[in-house]
Amino acid sequence: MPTITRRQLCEELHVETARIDVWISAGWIRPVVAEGEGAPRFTAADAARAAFLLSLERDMALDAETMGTMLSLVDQIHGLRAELMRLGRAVEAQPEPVRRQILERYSGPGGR
Amino acid sequence: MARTETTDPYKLLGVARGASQEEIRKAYRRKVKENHPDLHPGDADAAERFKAISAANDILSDPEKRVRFDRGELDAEGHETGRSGFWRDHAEGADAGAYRSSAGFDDFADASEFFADMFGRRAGARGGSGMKMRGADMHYRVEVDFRTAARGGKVRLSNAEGAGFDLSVPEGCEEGQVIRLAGLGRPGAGGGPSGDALVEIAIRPDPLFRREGRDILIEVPVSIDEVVTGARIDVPTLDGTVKLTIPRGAGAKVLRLRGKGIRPGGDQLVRLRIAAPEAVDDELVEALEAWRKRARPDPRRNWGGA
Repeated sequence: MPTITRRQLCEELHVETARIDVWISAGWIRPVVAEGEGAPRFTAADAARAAFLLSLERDMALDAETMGTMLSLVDQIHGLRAELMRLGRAVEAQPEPVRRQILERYSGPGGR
Repeated sequence: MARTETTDPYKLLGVARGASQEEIRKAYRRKVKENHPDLHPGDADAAERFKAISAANDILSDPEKRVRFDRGELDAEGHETGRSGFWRDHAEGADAGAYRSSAGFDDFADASEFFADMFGRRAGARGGSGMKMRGADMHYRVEVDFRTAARGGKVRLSNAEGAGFDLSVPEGCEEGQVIRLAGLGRPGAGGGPSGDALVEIAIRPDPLFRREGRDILIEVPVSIDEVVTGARIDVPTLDGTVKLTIPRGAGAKVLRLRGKGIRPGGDQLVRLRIAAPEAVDDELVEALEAWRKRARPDPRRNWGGA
């Protein structure tokens, strides 16, 4: 998977490396450090996350506490979405009668 | 994505990636003058170069396009690459496993056998790897009273999570001194160590004592007779009240109490401030007039203000 260096990420986002380092030390962005190499490398997903962090910090002017809380909630949402999707696909892979039963139970009283 | 010499819009305009919009405008104008075919009728390649420069300017002069190009969403020709710069489009992908959190539904496994099975089977796959990251340092500023700073003591603080901890203020602590408490900063990620707490000390002024270097200063009111005839008076120090001997004829001196300042080696300096008598009776006046005739005092004899 193609990755970029910290410097390249800074150039893409027009930020100082110090800002990226703060995000890394807060655990908000987690680049991969390959065995035997010193420097972290960022995937496209990491770069998109960094762009998101920058929006939160600069465009929405959030302080560090709030950002931590926001990110925690956003990460929980995506965790839930991923599981829900996965569960949905697992149900879709079932025979029609099973899917129908599940749907009935899901839509019935107490189910929703 | 390789950005070669001839297609990178930044290189084509000759600007740095962090260039301002104004710098880009200026650079474009310069490049147009250098490459416009109509200004260089004999240059066969000018038309092609000019086309590339125009395309580069199309992207970089438009702030929105520029941002999208930087994020890899547009290519050098301005076409969509299909790559997204938005977090939500990556958040459920394979590369984002380290970020997704199960904290929103961790308790489901307790409430439902099915969920317990479901999550149990994939326990190995989840719990995203990510790097071991040291937590960030926390910064505090704490006001400490003068006596606690001078002789040392404990102050109670609470951290970001509301947990309390004790700060040991070292003896002789100075204004602005920063004390580092290991491991009391923000928690680390992926099992990494916590950061540290950095506490800056501000010292509240004391109504009686002042500090100068390693000495403690105090001013004590005394009466005229005490500085003339001598006396033993009580004086407060950081370690409690002590008796101070005012020698006969001391006057408004500064007396030194050894070892009563900042340890080691500091003293307490006691400045005597003579308080005029509250009530002056005739006997006092007569006695002093007689003394003046005898002694002929001239305190302003060698004084510069005469």
